[in-house]
Amino acid sequence: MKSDYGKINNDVLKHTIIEVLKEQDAQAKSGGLLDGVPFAVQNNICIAGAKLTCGSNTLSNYVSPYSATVIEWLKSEGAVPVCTVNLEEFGLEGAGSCKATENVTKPDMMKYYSDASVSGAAALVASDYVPLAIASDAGGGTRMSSACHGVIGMKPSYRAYSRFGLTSLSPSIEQIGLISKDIPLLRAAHRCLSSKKDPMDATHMGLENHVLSFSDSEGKIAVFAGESSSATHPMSEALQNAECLFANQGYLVQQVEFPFAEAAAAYYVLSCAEISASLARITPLFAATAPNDITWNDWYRSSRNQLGKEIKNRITAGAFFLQKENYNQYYLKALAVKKKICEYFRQIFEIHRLIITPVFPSTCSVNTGNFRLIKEPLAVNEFTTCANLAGLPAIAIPLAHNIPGGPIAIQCIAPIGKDEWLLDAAEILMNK
Amino acid sequence: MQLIVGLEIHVELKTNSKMFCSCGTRFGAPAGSQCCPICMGLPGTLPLLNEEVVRLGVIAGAALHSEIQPYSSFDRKQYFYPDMPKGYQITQHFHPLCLGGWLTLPESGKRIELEEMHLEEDSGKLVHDTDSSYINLNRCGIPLLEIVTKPVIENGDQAYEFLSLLRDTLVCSGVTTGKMQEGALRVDVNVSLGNVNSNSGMYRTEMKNLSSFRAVRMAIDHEGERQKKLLDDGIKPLSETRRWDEKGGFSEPLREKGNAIDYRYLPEPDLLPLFISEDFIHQCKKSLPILPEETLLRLITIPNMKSNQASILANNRQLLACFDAAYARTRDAKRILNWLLGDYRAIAKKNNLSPENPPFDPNDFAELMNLSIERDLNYQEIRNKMMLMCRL
Repeated sequence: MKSDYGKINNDVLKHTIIEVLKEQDAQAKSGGLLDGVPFAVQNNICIAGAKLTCGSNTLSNYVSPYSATVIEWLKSEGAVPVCTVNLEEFGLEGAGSCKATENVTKPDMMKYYSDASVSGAAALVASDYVPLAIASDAGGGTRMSSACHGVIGMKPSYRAYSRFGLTSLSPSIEQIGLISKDIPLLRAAHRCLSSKKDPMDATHMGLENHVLSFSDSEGKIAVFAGESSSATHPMSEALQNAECLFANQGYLVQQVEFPFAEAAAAYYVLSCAEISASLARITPLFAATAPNDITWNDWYRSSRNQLGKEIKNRITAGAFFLQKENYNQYYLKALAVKKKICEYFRQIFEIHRLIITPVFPSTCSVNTGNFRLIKEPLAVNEFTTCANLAGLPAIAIPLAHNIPGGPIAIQCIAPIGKDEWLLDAAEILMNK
Repeated sequence: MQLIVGLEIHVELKTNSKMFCSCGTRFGAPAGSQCCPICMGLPGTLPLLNEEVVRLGVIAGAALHSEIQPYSSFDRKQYFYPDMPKGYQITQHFHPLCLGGWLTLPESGKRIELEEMHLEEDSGKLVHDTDSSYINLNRCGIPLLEIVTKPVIENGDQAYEFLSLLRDTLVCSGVTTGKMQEGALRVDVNVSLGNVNSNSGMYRTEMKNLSSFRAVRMAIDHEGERQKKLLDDGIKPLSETRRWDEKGGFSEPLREKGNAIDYRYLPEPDLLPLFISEDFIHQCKKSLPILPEETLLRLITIPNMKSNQASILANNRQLLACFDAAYARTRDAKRILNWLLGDYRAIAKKNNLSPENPPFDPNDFAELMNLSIERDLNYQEIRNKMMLMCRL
């Protein structure tokens, strides 16, 4: 396997593994939801004493002094963080072109690039190095890369998991997500991360314990009937497959319309605006001592030059959207669209319990696998970003593996707080 | 043409911990000893709002007759400066905590109206050495209340009087220590010349971070003179930020407003909006002591009461209690003030007593004043009795 994802690249982590295992042995502790489960951590989530590069040269030498809440909570259930993994710079959802380090290729098909921000984590899970990985999902990262690698990627409801210790790009829509092949394991990790309230994150709420199970609840399954259904594409086949699977189980399936394109545009404005502010924080100034022979200005400038091109584009765009004279025209408009999208979803969920969409739109050929050719990184994520925008839980479920070009997956979106319905749906679709 | 002045006052709130983390706020602690990943803005950290900050903000709002908003929220104000590790300051731009409000100046009866008040975090402090500069992050995240007045102040004296009353009011209500030497109150001054009614609005100059009320008074009057001279010569003053040199007694341009920074405000996604209940506001109002403004307005109507005497009484509870008790019995303000603010304070000074906190009971003092009139005691007799009351 080429490239540098999934290196056990850190003495601290080696040390942690040994310590944790020893401790568990010593206490003969069992009964944790995740006893002995090794997991990979996307390198924009803090682990005390480990390097936190965020996939960026800017932070190549930064070591976090504290651990993210999610790390602590997973550890408290017996799981062991075993490695940090590569990502698009700062977890930017994109198409494989925003990386400061080497590109990630698919473990099973070397000629294809892995897509999206969470590429390292998904690749690692796909190749059975670890059964579980945690990664950020700002616009579909976990779902898109999981789809590419034929594994399950899940983003919880907004405010379900603590964000303390996640280097957020767009805090108002970003969550930590989970990647695995194993549904019970996902469920255990999900419960571990959503059942408590983190005092370190003001926006964190957790989820209520007992929700009506998916099969016991009422409502139809909504299938997005947009452009993709007109395409002669493995994706629409996958959608039809999913429809059939649900229908065979006795669920009513109905086609719906959705303004995905509008949502994607609003997403772009809001996320860029937040990226421009969030990255103001990421200076290497706290992580290094100024060299003696350069001036303050030069030092600052040189640190900024280490940012990747796409990140710079987003910062520039975000700064533009937030300028006094543009604020109303762009930022406020995008907020209004966000509200509208939430309302759209609310109406759909009045009669439906689940929405099925593609993970990638029809305009993007999953078969070629060559996402680097896509000029507009936005075009690939309009299905995934709407869930971020509305704060809804969403999951990418692999349906077919043996298609040339890569696995095919569909996305399911559930109402807020009904995160586990996604796992129920995955069970239905994958145990066909 | 008349001077039009608006003030922005940054008040350090008296809390034990910082605005968004649990770090201490002690003034003068060793550099870098009161900071943590949160106030240093390290990657991944999130702010957590200190409830005491909100409580003090609401109390200040109540003390200044402000309308406390049931809904307010926080925003990121973006600008780069080395003393601000996050690259943005968390403040309340779009929905401030309090709107409106006023303080009435006792002597003139003029009401200085407020525009708004909001909560924000302080930045760190730059320390410059001969060949290098240091950043002390202890002050990062110290809670501030920014009070913005309407442009209604007419001269340096009025600004001075307003600031003194404001400081006394906030100290009295426990919102701040008011210690000027520790930077507990810092004032920005906006000055222009024009016609109040037609609202000049053509230009204004700003002087930032004045650390004493005396400096504010001088800077305003000086700036008024400077602008008048320019206008007399037919030159329109520039809209600019100027630096006031306190030692030299002059101001010099820092940067033109034309090059002013666009702060690119962004609603802070890491904090929830602030909802304040009627009940909470009511509790805060109930906890307020009688404030200097109210006392002053009462005292100033008493015959023979001078404004400086009223001001001393209004800010010292013990002295005020003595005055009130004695005045209720004798109605002889002149006699009481002479003894309480004149002789007692002289005795106190000589004998190492606190001039603000007489050791005697207000009723005993009232009895002494009453006796002095009824029995027509002479000066020495009264003074002897007062010495006895002071256990001297």
